[in-house]
Amino acid sequence: MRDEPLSLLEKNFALEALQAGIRVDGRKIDEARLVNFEFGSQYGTVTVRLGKTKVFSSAIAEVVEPTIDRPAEGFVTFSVDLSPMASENLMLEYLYSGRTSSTLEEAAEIVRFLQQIIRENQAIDTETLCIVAGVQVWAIRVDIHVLDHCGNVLDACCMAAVASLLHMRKPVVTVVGKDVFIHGIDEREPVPLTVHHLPISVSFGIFLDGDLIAIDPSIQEESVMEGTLSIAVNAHKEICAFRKAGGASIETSLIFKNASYAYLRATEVTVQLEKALKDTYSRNAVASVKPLQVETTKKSFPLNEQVQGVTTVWKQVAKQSALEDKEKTVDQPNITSVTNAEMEIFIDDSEESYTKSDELSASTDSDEETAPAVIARPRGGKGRPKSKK
Amino acid sequence: MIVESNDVFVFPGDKLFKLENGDNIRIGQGVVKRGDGLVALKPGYLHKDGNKIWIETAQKRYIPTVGDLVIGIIVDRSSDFYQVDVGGFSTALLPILAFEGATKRNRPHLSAGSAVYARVVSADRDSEPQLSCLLPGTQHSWVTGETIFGELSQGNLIHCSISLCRNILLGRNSVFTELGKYIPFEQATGMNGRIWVRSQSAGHIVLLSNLIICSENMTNDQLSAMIKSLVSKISTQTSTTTSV
Repeated sequence: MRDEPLSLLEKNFALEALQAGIRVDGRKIDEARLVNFEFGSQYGTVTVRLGKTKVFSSAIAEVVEPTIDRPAEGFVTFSVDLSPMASENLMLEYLYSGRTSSTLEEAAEIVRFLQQIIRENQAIDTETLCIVAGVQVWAIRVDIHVLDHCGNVLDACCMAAVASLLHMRKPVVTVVGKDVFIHGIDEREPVPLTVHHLPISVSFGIFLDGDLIAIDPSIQEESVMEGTLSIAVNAHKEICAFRKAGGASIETSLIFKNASYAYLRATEVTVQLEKALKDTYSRNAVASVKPLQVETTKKSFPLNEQVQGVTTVWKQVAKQSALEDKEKTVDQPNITSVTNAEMEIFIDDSEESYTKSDELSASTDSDEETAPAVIARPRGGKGRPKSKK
Repeated sequence: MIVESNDVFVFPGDKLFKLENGDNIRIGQGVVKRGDGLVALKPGYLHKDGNKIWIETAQKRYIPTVGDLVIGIIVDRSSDFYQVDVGGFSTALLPILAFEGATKRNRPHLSAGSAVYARVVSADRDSEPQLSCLLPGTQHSWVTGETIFGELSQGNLIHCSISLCRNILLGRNSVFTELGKYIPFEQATGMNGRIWVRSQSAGHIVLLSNLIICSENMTNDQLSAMIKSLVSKISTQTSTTTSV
């Protein structure tokens, strides 16, 4: 949609309508626009529509070196691209300020809010993103592209980021001795991320010196609003982040009132997101995780029995490493316990992964005891561990 | 291929007519004279009305054409001209004295963001299009607010497709006649994909705006049925809210 410069008429009318208790698009003051999640054929890709606002997000996993201070934690990073295609007002801003997408204040603010609601709230378990502590961890990168800027891009971006992380899978990794094997999608079904909770951002527009607050402002309303109030809430009724921008002052009681509105909206969106995810899995067989027929006991048994669907090459390597490490019997349980933990994540039903988050984090905690043994023999900078297709 | 009937779909490069000596034909959008014949420039439906010939496409970008009535938004002003956004390839120029009865001392002062209803008086390929709010033959001055062209105040501006505006102006879309049966309102339709509406209350304007946008993909029968059902609902709602 080509967005044209707004006239004073439209701006004034947006206010006039709000004062009359109605929105320009026919909504009520406390009525948000419809949300639609459309998952792509690739893991981690999603298109979110919030009314006419349209946002595309994709999440990918990369193997990187961890930081020195947190050797057993992976990364989740975000980037927001507000392209000049999204709206003409943005295009004018690019032209006159000479900025690029990454230096645009609005984009930077969205990235900051995303970090706040997802990273700082531990919505994604970064410890399960560890492959070999101190050597290799997963870095999840979420790229968000705003395709149509028709108001409330922040909420749309947050929903897209959460949906993408929920839909995303990381390849299965097996650690044998000193070697790390990354299994391809055709070889082993990739595993979903450990999502502890789903923070949903709900924004409100502040109008008329804080006398009027309307949920989910459209672009016409955004042009006359004096500030925004964004509250990120999850289904457990926890406020994950709070942001008030624009400088307009509002009464404290209104914040509490709006927080409860935000909770209602967040549960509504969460239900829709879950439904959309379920629909994708039932429609698209490729995107579903087939549970492996193995026991989930903690007992360690020989590698070749435990891992199914592994190619002969893998087996040969496993045998070799087993021979090499025969004398070092101390290491053997460590290796199997690492794979055990992976198996658990793998077997876990993807659709309920975030509801079972507590169990998952508990299991990873118990593995931490054995983790130092792996740290004890890092490969260092030289000789990157082999990765298999 | 020689196309000569009404309402046929043509592709760019199709030969439309062979011109003969003494032919007096006005060519419109999407038609160009090549040699001794007319050739289509765009894909779309060929229309012929009297000696006028043009091609209708689902084009999004407005191309200023002399005689079009447009709604422009003032972007900037200089000492002699207003720069007006009409949705075209460049801004259009509106002379500051091109209003009915305007003099150097007594003329409308428009600020950036104001909307004006004007007509295109010149649209050359190599220069900025020129607008005018003058209508020869009228007696009204801009001061009285009774002129057809000029600044649009109050109400709402709707951005829609150019084909919707054309269908409304050609009378194919009956949204305004249907709405007029129930709600009193004022409207101005610009050929550049903008419609201005003003009515008695904000609720009515919201209803009008959304119905006009909805009407694009509906038949006239569907439209009249929908308007009938919606108006009855809204009128009861607005009467209760105004009484409160």
